[in-house]
Amino acid sequence: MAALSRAGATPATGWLLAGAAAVAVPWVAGNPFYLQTATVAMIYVVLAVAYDLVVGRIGALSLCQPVFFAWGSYAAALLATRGGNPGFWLEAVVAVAGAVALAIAIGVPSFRLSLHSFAIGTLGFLLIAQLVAVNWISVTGGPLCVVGVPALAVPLGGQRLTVLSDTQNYYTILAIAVLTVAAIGLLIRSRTGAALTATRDDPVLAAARGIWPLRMRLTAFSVSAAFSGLAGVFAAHFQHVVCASQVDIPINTLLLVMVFIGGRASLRGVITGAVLFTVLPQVLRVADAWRLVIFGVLLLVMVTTVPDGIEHVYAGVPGLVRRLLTRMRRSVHHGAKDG
Amino acid sequence: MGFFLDQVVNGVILGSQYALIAAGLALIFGVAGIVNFAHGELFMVAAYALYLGESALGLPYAAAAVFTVIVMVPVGGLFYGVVIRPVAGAGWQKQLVATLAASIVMVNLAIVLAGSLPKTVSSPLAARVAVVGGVHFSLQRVLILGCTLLSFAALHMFLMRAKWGKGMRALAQNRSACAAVGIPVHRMGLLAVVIGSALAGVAGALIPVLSNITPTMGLLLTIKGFAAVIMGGFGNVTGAIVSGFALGLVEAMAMAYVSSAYADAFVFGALIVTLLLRPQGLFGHAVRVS
Repeated sequence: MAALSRAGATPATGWLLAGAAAVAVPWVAGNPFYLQTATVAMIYVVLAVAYDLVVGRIGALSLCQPVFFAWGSYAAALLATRGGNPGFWLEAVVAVAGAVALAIAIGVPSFRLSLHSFAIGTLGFLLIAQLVAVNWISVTGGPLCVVGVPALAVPLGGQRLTVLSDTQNYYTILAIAVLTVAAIGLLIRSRTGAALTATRDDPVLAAARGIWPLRMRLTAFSVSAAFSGLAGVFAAHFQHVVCASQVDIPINTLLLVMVFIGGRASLRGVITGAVLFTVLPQVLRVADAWRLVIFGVLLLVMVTTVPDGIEHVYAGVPGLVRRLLTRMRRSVHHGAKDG
Repeated sequence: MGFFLDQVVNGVILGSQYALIAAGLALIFGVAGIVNFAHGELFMVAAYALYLGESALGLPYAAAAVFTVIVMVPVGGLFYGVVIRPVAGAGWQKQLVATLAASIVMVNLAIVLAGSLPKTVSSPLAARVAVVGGVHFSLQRVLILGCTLLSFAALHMFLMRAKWGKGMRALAQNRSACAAVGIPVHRMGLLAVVIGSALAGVAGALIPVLSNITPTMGLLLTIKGFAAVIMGGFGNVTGAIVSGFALGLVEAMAMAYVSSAYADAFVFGALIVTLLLRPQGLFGHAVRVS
């Protein structure tokens, strides 16, 4: 019986174990490349969890998520290189405020559209943003990028801490990721979260119950944009360079894959998806030229064989543990009888 | 005036390309219910087939072009069997990821097999120029427009007259009713993908003469074709074709008179404005959600 109740309590234990594993990464990762990959994985955890708030929670297939990420990066890079390097807090405020403003500017017209039209409408905004990033050379550097972004400086109680080493970078983004997951986790468990789900499942019924669908959708879209912008601030300082390729379709495609293969509207699934699909292409580097071909084939196989993605696997675990335990107990009983 | 007419010709040629892709996308969406995000890659495969026909098999352009369209029929069948059939009837998320995965595989397979350097093909018609009313256009452009219109006429006849074409239109209206009266839903889906693939083949046999062949040439084309489909009203083949030409004209005009760098911004701007004024698309019917 004790074993059964422990199996039922796996979620909390699972989160603690995952957290411990994330904290332990710098000790386990033997070389800088692994640690840098882990850092990129954490950036994608932030982006994917934020993206899932739009795709999973309100069921709107947005294709302009990189706009907010790139906005955050460009804002941070320009402030750091030309704006007197004011440090993390001001950069974060500018990035988040700008991302929210962008989200409202894109969201108000786009949410008039239904599923597929919403997708292509937001994609239109992404491509326009990309054209601006490529062609507004005096600000973004165009194809030459914004280069020489210094390491992240965090003014803290009169001091100015600089995030220099790989380990410091990793813990910084880990903190941002934990903040994002906690904030979005709390949001979706709140009344607002229930209203978001209601809006997704039946907007008409939700409206009849006094929930204004557009407001809910804009809320989710803005919160999602805010965290993406924050991830952008970190990414600019981590990569030391911001290019127009950051506001491109492949990033959105990767996020889609992470969310859909991970399992929409499932935090644990999306986080696993984000880590898996950052690490997988790196692992496939052993087959250099073929790696993206293999990646695509794996994707195709996964999407056609695993019904609801990784979340489906997780959801199956408690039942599996219970069945294993009963079987073990039964075999023990049988063993006792035979003896 | 001559310059303006030149731009109209450019726009119509660009539009032919978008319309051929959009018609296939709209047909596949109408019949199989799937948005094929790898449709531009079918165009890319066709372009490489043309290159292969000319350079490896040593065929003259006309034979290589016919070869290309014929090759695209089994390619479409294969595409249906591997990508579309396994996710037919699944949720839109799975269909989206499956076709995106197909796109990733096709682009990178092309990079591995053919290299990322651009390839070129030549047509004897490209160098021959006709002058009509002060407007210069190469005979290749005449060929592109002629073949595109011919393809659409054939498609229209098929959809309106043939038994299978009528079945497709019925499917686009009501899937379950079609299944109930014994219309072979999956075979219809296969046929739609094959026709869409052949239309991409027509584009792939004609357009690359004017430009280069690269593994990534289909990426933006899928998006513009999709934009035309949405603008025309989802699943409406005629609307998709008309919008394809409209987007081509907008792009050519923006490129000539405003800025070549921002031409695509005008294309998507036109799309966004259209959707804001008519969310159901130019030819779609408004549906009341309640």
